[in-house]
Amino acid sequence: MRLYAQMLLLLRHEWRLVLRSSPNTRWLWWLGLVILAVTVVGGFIFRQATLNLPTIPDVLPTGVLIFFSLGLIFIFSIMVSTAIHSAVQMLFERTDMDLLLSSPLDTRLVLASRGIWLAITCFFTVAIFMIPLTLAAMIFVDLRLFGAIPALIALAFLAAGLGLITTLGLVRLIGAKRTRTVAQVIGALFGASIYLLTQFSRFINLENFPWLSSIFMQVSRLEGSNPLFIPARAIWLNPLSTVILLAFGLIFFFGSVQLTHRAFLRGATASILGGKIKPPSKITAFASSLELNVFRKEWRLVLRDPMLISQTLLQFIYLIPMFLAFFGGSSRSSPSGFNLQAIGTYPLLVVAAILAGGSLAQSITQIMVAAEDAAELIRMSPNAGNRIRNAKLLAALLPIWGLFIPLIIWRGLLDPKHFFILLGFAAVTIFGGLMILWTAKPFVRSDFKQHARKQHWLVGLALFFLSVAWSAALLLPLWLPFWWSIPAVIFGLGIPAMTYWLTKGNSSLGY
Amino acid sequence: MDVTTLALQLQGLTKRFGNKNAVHNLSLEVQNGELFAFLGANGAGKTTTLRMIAGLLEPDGGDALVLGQSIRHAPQAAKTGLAYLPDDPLLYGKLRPMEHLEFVAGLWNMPPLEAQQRAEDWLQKLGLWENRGELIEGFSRGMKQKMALAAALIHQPKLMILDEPLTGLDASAARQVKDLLQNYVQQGNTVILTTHILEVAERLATRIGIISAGQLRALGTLEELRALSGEQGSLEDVFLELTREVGEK
Repeated sequence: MRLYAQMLLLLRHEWRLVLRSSPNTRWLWWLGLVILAVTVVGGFIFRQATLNLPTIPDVLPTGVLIFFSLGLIFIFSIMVSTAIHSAVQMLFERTDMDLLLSSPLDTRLVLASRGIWLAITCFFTVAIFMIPLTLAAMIFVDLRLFGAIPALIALAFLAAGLGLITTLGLVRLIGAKRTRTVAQVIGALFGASIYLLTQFSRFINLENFPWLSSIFMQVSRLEGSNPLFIPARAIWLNPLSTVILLAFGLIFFFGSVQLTHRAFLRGATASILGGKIKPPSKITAFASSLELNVFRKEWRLVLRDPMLISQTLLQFIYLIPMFLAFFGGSSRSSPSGFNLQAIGTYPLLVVAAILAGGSLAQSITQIMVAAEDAAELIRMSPNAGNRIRNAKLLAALLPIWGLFIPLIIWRGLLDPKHFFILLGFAAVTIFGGLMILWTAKPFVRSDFKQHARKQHWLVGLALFFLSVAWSAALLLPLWLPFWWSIPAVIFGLGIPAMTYWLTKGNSSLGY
Repeated sequence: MDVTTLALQLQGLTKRFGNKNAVHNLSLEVQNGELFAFLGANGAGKTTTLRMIAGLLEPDGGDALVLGQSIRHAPQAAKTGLAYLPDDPLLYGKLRPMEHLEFVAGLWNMPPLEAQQRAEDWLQKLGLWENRGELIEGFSRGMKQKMALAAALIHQPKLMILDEPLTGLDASAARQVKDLLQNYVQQGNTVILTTHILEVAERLATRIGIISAGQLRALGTLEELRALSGEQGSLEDVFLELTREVGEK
């Protein structure tokens, strides 16, 4: 079989696996069709609309190029995060690798086909929002903005190459088994990096970081023809920049395939689950109560699941800027450069504790309560299911309480009104947890992402309003008389009461 | 018969799935100290029966008394002395063997020190002690089956129900499990197992029950079943003869 035919065979194989990996992906293809239709219609409209548009110069000003570059950096961070996540799955979690590697196909071709699908995955991850945006920009600004599409394709290949290098580099450094966990965490960190940067910039006083200011100044003085702006100029469909970016993306991609080929073989052939027998682990004393037993088991399972770690870690990362708020009041003359004294910390703390802390608690409760891999084992035991479910809820909430409550108490000692936050925080975590307990449907841990999407919209809405109600109860007295909080509290109590009434406090978790 | 000598008593147990009777009016008594083999073709109703006994399926009719306790009316008391090992072992892949046993022992409310000692003993007896540092997800099928067996035995159940316990085991592991079950029964405990390997039932079982279309078709020792079928050959011949008769009816 010729090389291109083999490649087509492999790509078609990947296509089938992707299509059938989840029934939920079907909507994506429908969305793709809609986007295609919109593109055709949009193109037609464009022909009519552009006749009267003012002409824009071929060379864009530096300010616009910087804006485009920042946009591309943001998109690239999403792509790299996607590439790392997907590389772990495509290279190590597919069960067809043994079959492919034992076939007479060139293993470089196998890796390249996986890599191309990685690039396609990266492209479509951002295409969902970038294609309509590009289309709109083409219609209402300039046709040359079509350059965003080849630029995205080039970035997708770059991200895929980087994903391969990161994942397979980790295989070489720490072995295939640990790579899954570490790569998922790195992917999560990469995905959140831009968010963190934007959030830190709100809290950092640039005067305390002269080197950072100097970089900003130097970039703003660069000329439009500077090579740093090649990706930005490609968005404007500058022919040379587009060709250079595409060529660089493809060369980097195929170079990374060549570079990582050996690590790929090593990682793929070493069983992800097997490997060397580990030295015996230290055995801790058995738990003395059912609650402690459940706590240990649940956290062991979460901490050993790469996907769950990355998901939980991601939520912690998104909480970091909120946590800065906790330290704001005490860093009035901090030499570290944090400048929070201007922000009223109470509203920020309410948001941090109620919205962010509440959603983190609910997410962990969801995992521990609904993702039970051996529900029948629990059902066979001589325990009331209610006791186990409550123990799981406690296991989920205790660490969250341990994280937030000392901070809230500390802030309360500095300013007593912060003690009210404890009330709202306790209500949101306990009521939210109970509502999940009553409404959650069982799911397999590996389907966590899909399950989160499948949560009944009414439950999601009820949890959202629970947080809103308790935030309102704590915030309204800042601007209105105290009694304005009473309806919010009643609403905040009514939502869980209504959920209990509708479910009769029963559970459909299967244990 | 004195109820206290009975490990299991099924009283007209019935389960329907839609219009189909998966188990119909099944009555059976198994005495303490018996190793009882439950035989039947695929879909005969064996697993449904076992799952009802274990409290995993709600019967539509009848009851199952486990060590004298009704699984319908006193489920927690009934489950205390019971262990059920399904054909697909219920294990947490991301736990290590001792951690899994710790959790299971905790579910059966065992004192921690006793549970820890017992867990170590079972892992050593079953040849898993050297693998105690590994995650269960990396175990072979046979190791997982032995792991599930250790988890079933940790709380010292009086009655153990096993669904196809020898599936996927190599000869050495299968022998180990068979010896273990025989020793367990010799200590006065009761085992009920299903198996497609008729030689196992022939060699191990005190009594054999043959189920077909959700009903008990034959019950007795191997000799009694031979007499019933008119066959003098192996259990396989007897089983095929008895189930053929049912099929023809």
